[in-house]
Amino acid sequence: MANKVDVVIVGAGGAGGIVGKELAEAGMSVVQLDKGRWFTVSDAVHDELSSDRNVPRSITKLEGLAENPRSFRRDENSPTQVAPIGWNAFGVGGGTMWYGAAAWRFHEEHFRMRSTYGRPEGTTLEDWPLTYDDLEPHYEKAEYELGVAGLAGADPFGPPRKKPYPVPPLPTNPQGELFATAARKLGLHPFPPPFAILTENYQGRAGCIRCPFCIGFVCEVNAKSSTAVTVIPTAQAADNYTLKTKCVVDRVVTDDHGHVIGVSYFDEHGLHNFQAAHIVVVSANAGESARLLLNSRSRLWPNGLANSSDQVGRNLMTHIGANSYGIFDFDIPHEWGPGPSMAVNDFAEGTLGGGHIYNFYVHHPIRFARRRPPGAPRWGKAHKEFQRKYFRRFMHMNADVADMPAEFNRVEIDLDLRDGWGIPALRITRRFLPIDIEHSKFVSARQREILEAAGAIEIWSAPAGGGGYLGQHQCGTCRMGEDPKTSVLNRYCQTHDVDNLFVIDTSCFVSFPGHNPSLTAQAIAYWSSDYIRREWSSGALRRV
Amino acid sequence: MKLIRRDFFRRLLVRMAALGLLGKSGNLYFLAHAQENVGELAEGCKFLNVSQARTLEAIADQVIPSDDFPGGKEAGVLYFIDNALAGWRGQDRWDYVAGLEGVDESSQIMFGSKFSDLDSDHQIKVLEALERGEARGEIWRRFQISEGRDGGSSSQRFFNLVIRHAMEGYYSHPKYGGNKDSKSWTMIGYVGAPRQ
Repeated sequence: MANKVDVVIVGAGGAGGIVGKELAEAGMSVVQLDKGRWFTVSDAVHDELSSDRNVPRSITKLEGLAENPRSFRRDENSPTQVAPIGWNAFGVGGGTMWYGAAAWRFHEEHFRMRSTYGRPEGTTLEDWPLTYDDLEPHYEKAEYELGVAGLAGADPFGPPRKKPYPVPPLPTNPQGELFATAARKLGLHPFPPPFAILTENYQGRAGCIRCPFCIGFVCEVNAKSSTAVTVIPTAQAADNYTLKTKCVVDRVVTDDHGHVIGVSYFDEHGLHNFQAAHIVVVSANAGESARLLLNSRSRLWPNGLANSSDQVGRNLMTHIGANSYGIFDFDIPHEWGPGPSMAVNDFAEGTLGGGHIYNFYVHHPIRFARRRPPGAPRWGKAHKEFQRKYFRRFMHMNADVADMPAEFNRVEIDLDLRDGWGIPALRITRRFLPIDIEHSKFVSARQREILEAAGAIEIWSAPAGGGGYLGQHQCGTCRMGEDPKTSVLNRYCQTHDVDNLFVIDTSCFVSFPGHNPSLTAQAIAYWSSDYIRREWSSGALRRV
Repeated sequence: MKLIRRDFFRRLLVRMAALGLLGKSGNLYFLAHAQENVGELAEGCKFLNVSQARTLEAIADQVIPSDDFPGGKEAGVLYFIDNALAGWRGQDRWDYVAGLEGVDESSQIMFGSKFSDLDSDHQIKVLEALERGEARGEIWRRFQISEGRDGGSSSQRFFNLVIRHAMEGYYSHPKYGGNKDSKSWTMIGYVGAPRQ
């Protein structure tokens, strides 16, 4: 076929953007399709109400949400409803255009949770088929190619690293000072957390101006190291790379032998096209990647493409959070972005269900109007007085807490619900396990201790176990493993069933420690791209 | 003042739908005609009529009462919500049309007057009844406030919706119309974007 390319990549997000650049750099012809558009600094509308991520159902919807419905149920016996708005972003760079840019490495033990702690009943906890050592050079490459700020050696629990961070950490703000003092008082080990945000000039981009609109906003100076301002423009400089935006892939197409031969998609004019390719890489996020495989049924793949294991869509994890709040009788100005300034990893390893604790992003007045201790008035005179008295005397502790994989937590195809292109939508089934709730409560109790040591006069925690709607941090739906009967992908994100099909994003995660997933997905993108490059040059993945 | 519509049949349908007499088709009717309202358009508004605006403004002034800083009324919360209903929150229009009528009905039942004519203590009592989901009235019983809202009964859901929008208006960027002269930001010491 005339327009057949070496590789077609579905999705130009945090992981896919890296794959595109790596394979183009290796000389392969690449077509990358993304359903969203380009976002630029001119899209950086910086007020609280303009961010759907921060004020749900707000003035600006994340583009594409209306055309991309999903249904949700807590478990098999609960009613299915149209899912509340998630935060999945559509656009070049994917979530990395809007995210808070936390850039954690997972720790060594996080890749071998089952052999360290056993498998809790009702879960599918498993070791990863790769180790921290396998990924270490790729973490490093991600940090250096994207631009990650941090302070090497400051975290005594952090995994070993060979090089310092490419740029220094964000300066400590007043909340960070208070957090650090309190944490040290408790014998904990505070340190400045790593961010994919530049703090000084690096590779032609300027440093963060510390505006208060970071998480949920497009960066106004491109200091946030999104793939849209780093690796994707690098890829675009190559003649053998083409990025097509506003293209919605509905199906990965297979031949009579069950191999993939390309993808069909609707272009921005709604025309249905076919892109032939030797290799198909799906990097559409853990919800959409699984959906695409499940929607790509055929005679040879009646349960969904590459799904002989029946594991596609299962083992969905989303992080169970822990959130605690404290008010003080003294001012703690929190107006310089991004806001998180100190973290502790004391509870992020050495336990089955831990997580890192940090002070949260800059808070804004609308959301603060909903931050009240249990029983406090939600309106009226007393509400206004609280708002006035405590807006500048408030600290929010957040944590991502590990949640356990389980078969019943999954995404499937909802045949009654279709998206704007007529493609069957996702149905999410998601409930946290009692053990997840326990872990979240453990971490929020630690948050309250820190707030107390910091001198808070009233402290409360959010109830554990809400959410899980697949807006962010979703992972695990095409897990890696050595056994094709119990996993979808091998250690290089290649499907066990079809050798020229890869799923490269957080779908591959086997377990989910209490750290943000992006940097690990990105390290895996480098690792898997390396493998594809090697296999391609050996001729293994080429088909006539 | 601009007259939106004087159409007896339409009024009747809206009324019937508000009372749930059309069942599910009532909601469908609303959705299909979501561009229009009945009655005289309130001054400075794009969607709400005079009576609805009066009720909403009085609610906003209880949700955020005035003290040495403006209350919801003075800050312009009515105009913020009206503007939202005319545009980016168009899907909430009929919750407001029914809900504001429901508030007036409950006020009549509890204290014999429309909400905006009650004294402050009575207004607070009506709102507390809404908040607890105990407000009485045909409209709350019949009308389904859109699914997916927080809260149990229709009155609770509507009240939560109004609080949400009032806070969004009062504490948002002044350009959205509900935070006149940034007074709420001055009050809490919020600097917004310090660079600008």
